[in-house]
Amino acid sequence: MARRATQIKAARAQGGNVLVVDAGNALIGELGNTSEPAERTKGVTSVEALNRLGYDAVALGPRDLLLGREELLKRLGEAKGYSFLSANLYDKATGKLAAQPYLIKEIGGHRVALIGITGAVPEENAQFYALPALDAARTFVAQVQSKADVVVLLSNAGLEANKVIAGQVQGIDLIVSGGQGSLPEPLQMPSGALIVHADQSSSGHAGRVLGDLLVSFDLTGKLTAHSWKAVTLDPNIPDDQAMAAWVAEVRQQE
Amino acid sequence: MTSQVQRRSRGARPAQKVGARALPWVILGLVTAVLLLLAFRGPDAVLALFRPKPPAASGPLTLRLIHTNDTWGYLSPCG
Repeated sequence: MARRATQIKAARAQGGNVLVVDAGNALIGELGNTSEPAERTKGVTSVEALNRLGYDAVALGPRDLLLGREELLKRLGEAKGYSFLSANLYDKATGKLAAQPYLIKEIGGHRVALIGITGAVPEENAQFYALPALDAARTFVAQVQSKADVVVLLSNAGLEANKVIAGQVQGIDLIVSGGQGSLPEPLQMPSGALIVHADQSSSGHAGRVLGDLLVSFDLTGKLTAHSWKAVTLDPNIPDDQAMAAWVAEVRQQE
Repeated sequence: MTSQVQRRSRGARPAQKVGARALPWVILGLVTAVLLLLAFRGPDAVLALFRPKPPAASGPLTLRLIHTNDTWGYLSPCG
């Protein structure tokens, strides 16, 4: 976390138009891993970390649902300066979307739509269900077309599903992919949509890599150029001191 | 006066006929274009023609996007 903070602060310090986003499954990964505070605090430390890092948008993923309805809804309310997004995750108790489906940021004279897409939720989940990612993408991309000239999906439906979405839904400029799969390089689809997928997580191995994408759009919002690098958060990256102090404080409470 | 009106209306008839003859071809052309779009780009491409356009931007945009996924709330990166 302290190394991620270093990277994010450095990007912002260089100026320009910077957005920091997460494609989902940011709150908790598994139950039974007591060495990570996320489970002990029911995701409180995860949201606090995202707050401190200054994220702009975070998609909700199926793993986040491990917190349970009551705790998850509390965590959504604790986000500061950003929103948790999902255009297809429904709360069974209310029959309504569990989170805001999208947000629009004005940046550099353009309007950038960020839409959250949640990956498949097991049918046995008693509290939430997710509509198919492709249908949700089609519906909400159409909705934001008149409001934004750049459309970005934060989708943890998995790389293969995201390729299908990019191929079948017109109007997507970029998919920040999460869930199953990983990409060593960005993938540009025939539709023009660009897909990036920074990390593939597994038990005990998460949060190791972030993606750093520089992308250009013309006046009409058409993607014209991009460059990308994966940044492995290894010991070569120094800790951000403030974040490191906070993490140490959290760990002392264990 | 009557003969002038008659001459004008007679003169307009060929143009109307040409317009009437061209109309089916115009419709056929539009239908063909829609079918081609449907076949090669899918229904979204057709629907996109009728969607309102987004507000115009003031210039090109260079955007730096820092992105993460599946961090699972871990406070320390592992690996």
